[in-house]
Amino acid sequence: MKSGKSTAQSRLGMDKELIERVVKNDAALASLVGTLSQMGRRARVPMPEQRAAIRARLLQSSAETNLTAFETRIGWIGLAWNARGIVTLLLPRPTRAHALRDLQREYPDAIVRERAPAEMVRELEEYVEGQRRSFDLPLDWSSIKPFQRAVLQAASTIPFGETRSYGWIARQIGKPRAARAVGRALGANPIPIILPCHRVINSNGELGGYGGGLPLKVKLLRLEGAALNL
Amino acid sequence: MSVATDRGRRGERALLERAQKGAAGFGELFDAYYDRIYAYAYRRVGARVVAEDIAASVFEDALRGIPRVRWQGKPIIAWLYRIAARRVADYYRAARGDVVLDDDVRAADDGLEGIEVAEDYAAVRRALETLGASDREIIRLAFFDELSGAEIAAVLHCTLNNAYVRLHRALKRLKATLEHEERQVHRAVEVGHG
Repeated sequence: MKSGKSTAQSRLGMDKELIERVVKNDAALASLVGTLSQMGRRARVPMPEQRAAIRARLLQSSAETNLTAFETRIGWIGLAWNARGIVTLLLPRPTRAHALRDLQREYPDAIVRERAPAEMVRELEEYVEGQRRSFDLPLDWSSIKPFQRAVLQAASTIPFGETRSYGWIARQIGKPRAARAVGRALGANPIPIILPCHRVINSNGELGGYGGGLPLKVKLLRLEGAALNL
Repeated sequence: MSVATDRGRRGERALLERAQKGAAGFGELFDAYYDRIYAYAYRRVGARVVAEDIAASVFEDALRGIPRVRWQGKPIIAWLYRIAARRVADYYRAARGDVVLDDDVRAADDGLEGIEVAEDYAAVRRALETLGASDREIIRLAFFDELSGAEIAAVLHCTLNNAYVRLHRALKRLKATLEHEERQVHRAVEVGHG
């Protein structure tokens, strides 16, 4: 890089093809285009001084995990999130302290926040109140392994108020004999409710299992108005 | 499409995917584009400190938004420029004319060239200020931010051909403005001597 010239411009120059095409179609513009090109080349941009600090802050915040819990009609829901989105949703606990304790066991270095980002709380509250059928919240998938990701993504395609079997998920992901592995992957769902593993039940209509206990699974499915074979 | 462009696109796609996976990948994306976004902001706000604040907020937004970005074969930088454009607009809205300018911006074109060149530049800059915002923006994108035709098209959400047409029209209007101004100056000089 030459001294005296901006080093903030990492590009080699303007798009010649673009400029040529404009000038070729209209020769009267050639001199103006020449002046503008010179101005562009000479316009100096001072070196940024904060680049390293901004980078460090940004990457740190991207790794930083935040925790909180908030009360809903079905209990205290815990949330862990980072700059990418929600990492964990903790199914309802009886008190805020319970929820935070259980989250902190998993994220000992996380920062406990007074409240979660407003849209996270709003969408979850609306869902629990029966006023929301789907979520539009950022999720951090980065620590979810490919198989589990495929399973959870397939589960996410089950419409609100409907159920599918473990075998259906297995077929959806092209592993028709993996119904048990599907069950395990759903059981370890880090973001239940939002990734609706509660909509997956046994093929004979029985409920199968649920990390938050079967009563909660029933409660969620009833909330959604799903037809249950109980 | 040239081989080089194909390779460039594959590289961009892989970069996007790495940036979606974790901090290291996002760091790479930051390193690849920070300077261009900062320069874009600087040319519009004219103060280094403000431009760096804007660039930082662009990458904060990008970090939050990146999990939801799907590869569509468009340059990543175009997405970042669109965020930057919103941030610059926010800045002007909040500043309400109370804008700080580094001396650099005004002094940028001085130097060894003759006085005529400096006057040409000043005239072009004045004429640019009187253009409509969309004309001014496409000229800036092409000549000052040095975007390629494809990048301009992606930033403006239009086809490549439409980008050419829009740039051409903007340049014609700029030329007309300059000629008009020149006639005014001549008239003023004639009157002055008459």
